[in-house]
Amino acid sequence: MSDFDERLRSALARKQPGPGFTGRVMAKLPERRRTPWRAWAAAMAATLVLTMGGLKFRDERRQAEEAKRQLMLALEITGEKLALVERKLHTGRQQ
Amino acid sequence: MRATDRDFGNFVERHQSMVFSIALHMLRDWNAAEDIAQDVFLSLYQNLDGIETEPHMVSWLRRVACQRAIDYCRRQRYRRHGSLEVVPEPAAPRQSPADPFLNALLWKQVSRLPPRARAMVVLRYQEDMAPGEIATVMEVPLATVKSQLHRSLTVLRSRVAATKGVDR
Repeated sequence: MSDFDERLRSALARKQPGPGFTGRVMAKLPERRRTPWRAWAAAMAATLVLTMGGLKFRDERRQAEEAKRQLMLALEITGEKLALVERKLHTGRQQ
Repeated sequence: MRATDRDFGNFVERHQSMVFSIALHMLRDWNAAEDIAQDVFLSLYQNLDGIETEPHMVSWLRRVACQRAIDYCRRQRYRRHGSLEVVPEPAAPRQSPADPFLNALLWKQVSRLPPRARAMVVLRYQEDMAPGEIATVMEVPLATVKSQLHRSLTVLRSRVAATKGVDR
């Protein structure tokens, strides 16, 4: 191996691409060839989020309906009490 | 060859410097070399089913990287309507610490060779491949590789020697 060959070898030594090269390649891979576990995991995560959201919504709605029912009952009782007081006042005035 | 994305990421990690350097030494343009290297790996990904072993894959990567770089050189040459001899010098390469000036000079002279001859020199000195292996990768007769390498080295020696104060 001549000195010139060695110089050429040194000049043409391998170099590294910029940082993150592999990531840039991986980001460009076509979606259709990707392994299914990622799509599967994404679908599972989406289902879980929707289910949890749905359960939370149902729970909050049930609490709201219970609060509404209690409020209506309280208003009904209050109305009955007021009617009773009014009747007593009316009877007292007539006597 | 069946490979998951993780396996493929490992392939890229292992062989990125080979593919990128072939393109870089052919083009002397960092950005174009990165683009070509990415393109080569994407092509590999789409052709994984036809690749049986890792040595087969390495050979495939070298061949495709050379082809893409040669095509790029030819497109650039047609675009500029001139020979490589009159193509303006690209941006200065990032130099290795060994002998930056001489390395840059040699690299510049290699980049002035015709694209196919340049690819042979890059495979011979970057990849340390024997002429027979180069002939296989580039799909040309062995005699062509030998004569082309001999001619390229003669040209390179004379050009470097002609450069004042570099090769005494």
